[in-house]
This record gives sequence, C-alpha cells and structure tokens, in this order.
Amino acid sequence: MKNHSEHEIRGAVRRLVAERVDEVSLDDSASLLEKTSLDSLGVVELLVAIEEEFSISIDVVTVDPESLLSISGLTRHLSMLMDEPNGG
Amino acid sequence: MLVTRGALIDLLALRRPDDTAVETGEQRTSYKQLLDLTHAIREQITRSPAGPGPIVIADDPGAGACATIAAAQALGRAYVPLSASHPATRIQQILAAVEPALIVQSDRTATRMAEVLSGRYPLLTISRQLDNLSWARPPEPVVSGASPINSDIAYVMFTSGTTGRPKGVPVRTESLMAYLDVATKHFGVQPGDRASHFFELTFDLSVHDIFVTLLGGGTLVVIPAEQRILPARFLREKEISHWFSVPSAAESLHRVGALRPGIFPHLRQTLFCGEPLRWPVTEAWQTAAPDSSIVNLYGPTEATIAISYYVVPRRRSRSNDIYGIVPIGQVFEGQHGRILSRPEAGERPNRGELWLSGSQVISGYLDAGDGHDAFASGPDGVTWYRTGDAVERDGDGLLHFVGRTDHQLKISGYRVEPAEIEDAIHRAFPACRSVVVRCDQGKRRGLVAAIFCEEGDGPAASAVREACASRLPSYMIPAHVVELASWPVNANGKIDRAAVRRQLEEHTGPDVVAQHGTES
Repeated sequence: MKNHSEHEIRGAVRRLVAERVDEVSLDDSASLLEKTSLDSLGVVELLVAIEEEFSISIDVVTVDPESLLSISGLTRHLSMLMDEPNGG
Repeated sequence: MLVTRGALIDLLALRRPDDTAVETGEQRTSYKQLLDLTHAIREQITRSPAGPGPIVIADDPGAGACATIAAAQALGRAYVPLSASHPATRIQQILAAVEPALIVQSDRTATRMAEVLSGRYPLLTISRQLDNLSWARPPEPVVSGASPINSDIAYVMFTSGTTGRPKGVPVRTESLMAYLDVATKHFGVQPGDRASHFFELTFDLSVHDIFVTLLGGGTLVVIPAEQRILPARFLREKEISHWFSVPSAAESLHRVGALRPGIFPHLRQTLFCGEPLRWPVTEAWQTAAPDSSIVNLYGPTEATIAISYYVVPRRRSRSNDIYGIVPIGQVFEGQHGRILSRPEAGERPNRGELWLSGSQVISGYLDAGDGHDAFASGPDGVTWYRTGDAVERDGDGLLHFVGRTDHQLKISGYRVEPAEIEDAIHRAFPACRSVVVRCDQGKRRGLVAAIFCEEGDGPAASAVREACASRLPSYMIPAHVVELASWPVNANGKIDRAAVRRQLEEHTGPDVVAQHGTES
C-alpha cells in the first residue's frame, strides 16, 4: 500500500494501539511499553498487526527497536518505509 | 576448575588488564578498572562502621553492579539485588526481610531510591563514570537490626510468592560454586568472547551472565532495556558470540520474521532458560545462527540458576519432540532429580512432579513460613525440593517439561503466582473477587485479571492496574482486565481457572462484561 499521508498513517497507528490498550488518551511520543498496558508480547503483536495493515515489513534487524516503541516513532518509520521506491 | 569464595576478585586480577570486562553502550570498563573499583568499594565498606549484613544492590546491570558483587564476594557478604523501578512497597518489604548492612546505588537510581527509602540504611553511590564513590547516607556506629542472612549465603533473590509478598530465596556459596563448576566447563567463555548481559539483576540468570563471563575473561556486553524486546540489532552490532536469554526474546524475533538465515554470523553459543523452548523457534534460531550451539537450560531459582541441560542436536527427531517443546534434558552431574508420579491419579511412572536435591538446592526459604510444602523428605532421609514442575522422562532418559502441578505462571521467564496479584487486587477492592490467568490465544494475550463483584459496577481496568502497580513489579501487572458476570466454580466449589482461561481466550467482546456459562 502506498500514497498514505503521514496523517493517515498516524491515525491508523493510533487506532491499532487503541484497540489494544486500556488508556483513554495517550501521548504520541510516550513509550508504549512504559506508559500503556502493552507488555513485550503486546508490542510484538502490534508490530505484526501494523505490518498486515500496511502490507509492509518492518525489519527489526536494521531498525533501532526503540524507534518502534511510540506512536510517533512508528509513524515516522512507516512514512519512511512507504516513501522508499520499493518500500512495501 | 576450583572456584572458591572471593575467587572472582582474584581472577579479575589475573586477566589481561586492558581487556574490556564490561561494555555498556559506549562505556567500556577494562579488567583493571573493574578490579580498582571492586577494591575501592570493598575498602569503603571495610572502613565504615556498617554492620555485618548483606549488601543490597540498587543499580542497573553494568560495571558498577559487577564490582559491587565482586566486593561482596570478597567480603564474604551476600548480595541482594533490587530494582529501583519496583514499587516502594515491594522495595521496603525486601529491605525489611534482609536487614542489609548497606545499599549500593548509582547516579541513575539515586533519585528514585531517595523517594522510597526511609533513612535507615547507609547508602553508597557509584558515580556514572565509575570514578567516584560517595556516601549519600553515611553509616553510623549504631547498626541496623540483626540480619537473618547467614554468612554462607552468596545472594538472595526474591520471586513471586503465594502469600501476597515476595519470597526470598537464599542461595549458598557452595551452591553457586557447584553451578559455576558445571557452567564454566560446559558453557564457558574465553578471553575475546563477547557475552550478552540480558538479564536484570533481580533475575537469578544474571548471576550466570556476570560470573561465567568474568571468570572466563570475556567481555560482558549489557543490552539496553529498550532493546531487550527485539534484540536482533544488538546481537549483530555488538557482534555477540555468547547469547543467553529467555526463549521469549527468540519467540518475538521469530514472530516478526527477523530470524533470517545467517543474520547472526558471530554467534557461537546460545543458552535459553526460564520458559518452555519451542522447536520451531529453536530451528529458526539455528538457521539465523548457523555456527552457534544451542543449549536448553532448566532450573528454578531454588536450584541455583540451572540444574539440567539439553544440547540441541542439529536435527529434531520424534523422540526429542514431545508436545513441540525442546527437552530440558539431564540433571547436572552431582545433582539429583526424581519424578514423583501419582499412580492413583492415573500417572505413569515416567511422568509426575520433578523433585530435586544436591548441593545446588537451597536449604529453605528466607522466611521459613514460605516453605511449608516446597520441601519434602525422601525415604532416604534426604530433603528434596518439590519444583511444582510436571515432567516426563522419555525412553532415552531425557526429561521433558509438560506443565505445572499448581497455578504458577511464567511471563517472559519471570515466575508469577496469580495469588500474589489477586491479593493486590483484593486489598484495593475488598468487595470483589478476582482470578488471574495467562491467555495464549484470542484477542487478549498475556496476564488477564478477571474480576467479579457481587454488587455494583466493578472497578475500571485502569484502577485495577494501578492497584497492582502500587505493589507489584511491571511484569506482574495484568495486560487486560475483564469483568465476569458470574464467579465460575467447578464441582468442588473451587474457582475453575481453566474454564476462566478458555472463556477469556474465546471471548472477543468488550472487556466490561464477559458472559459466563458457569458449570457445576
């Protein structure tokens, strides 16, 4: 899937996170591990859901895992992935 | 190899002084620096009027903690790790249980410790650059209460207890030395090797990381907390040659498709311990690390780090694959295991609860009240530790883990007693009953607390989680909270945990009310 605006990506990430946590409101830059009910298993399942949603693959071998642990970080990384000519 | 108490400090002195002993991010601490720091800590303690009790370490993994442990060993003191991120109540419970002579902290943990400590214990701070030691609260000649920790104890770990408070497990120096004898022989580290420091200090597998690596002269490479969840990049960038973690770390990498062929070219030895290790993950790990041996270790904290092992062969066969789980193998040489089967319950003789004895097994819990049914005398008069783990012995004599005989759960390798979480919930909401289970399928995975209130609305999920966070470490806070429409009991009138788990795994609706078909 391509041509998502950053706004759309952020919205989709927020929705996927919201489906999985109790928190009513969540700061986009907050750590999902520290500030939400997600545990490490929950974060891994979130990443898998994001990959399915956008039909992309997040390569945790090259990405700094810390950048995948907040809504902002995920949005940035996904935007970058989808901007790549062969991204997705 | 003969290891005696205090040997760690002597061995540090024998290493090439400029080799890196501990690496934390960009900070490298040589063996010489580590030895100097160890001596400095030892001297501060010796010169102070601090009492004779154990040394509490309130620090993150790193050179400071390693030096404190080596100093404690050299002084013949037990060390007790605490996590500054744990709730104040828990930290105070642990301090009251061990009555330490002093607490060693770092710049990183000092602010937090100042919040939770009540000004009773001497407090020594190690600076971030490891170049300065200062007393945040100097010891006074009036010593604290007598410590219940005997002088033969090397360390005390606290695990989840069924009584609503953490359970202290004192491990004797003799037990640690017996373990290290086996570990250095079979899973040892050499100068030039780069071994992971994955485990937090409060998890007893960290004792292996620290002692085996430093005794062998390798480099201990500390993984940053935020990389622990998906450690692939850490493993590659840090060129780790010896990896030791819970299987969860490999499970997560496998789940996101990261275990591609050959991505861990530097890895030569992988140890897993703390949870059941699944065959598919093991095979994927082998593909990712083609030059690595893989060993599955097993052992409760009460039996000192690990007490059985299985070297994974390159090929899985029908005999070593029961239920898709890698065997826990054979009990270490010199230690003893027996299977207590209950024929009256229809159990075959090769299946039952695993009992352990030998020099690696503890003599009892810190609080004798915790051990009332954990230890049993055999017909030979030997005291056995009842693990609560159900095992099966196959035709080749290999042990396989098949489940628990009680309700204990594992979360990322941490032992979790549901009763301790249920107690925390009950304290905050006395009018409600709760049952905590682990779900592996369905919408809600991980720890789930199911709440039932006779009258009125149940508490909000966030309130339940806050109640848990005020008493329990983060891995014991339920990921999900569900309100039950009825309290599910079995024919004996007892809570039916299996039924609750099944219903939670099948229930896909909102968290507020789960429709419950109570069986009787």
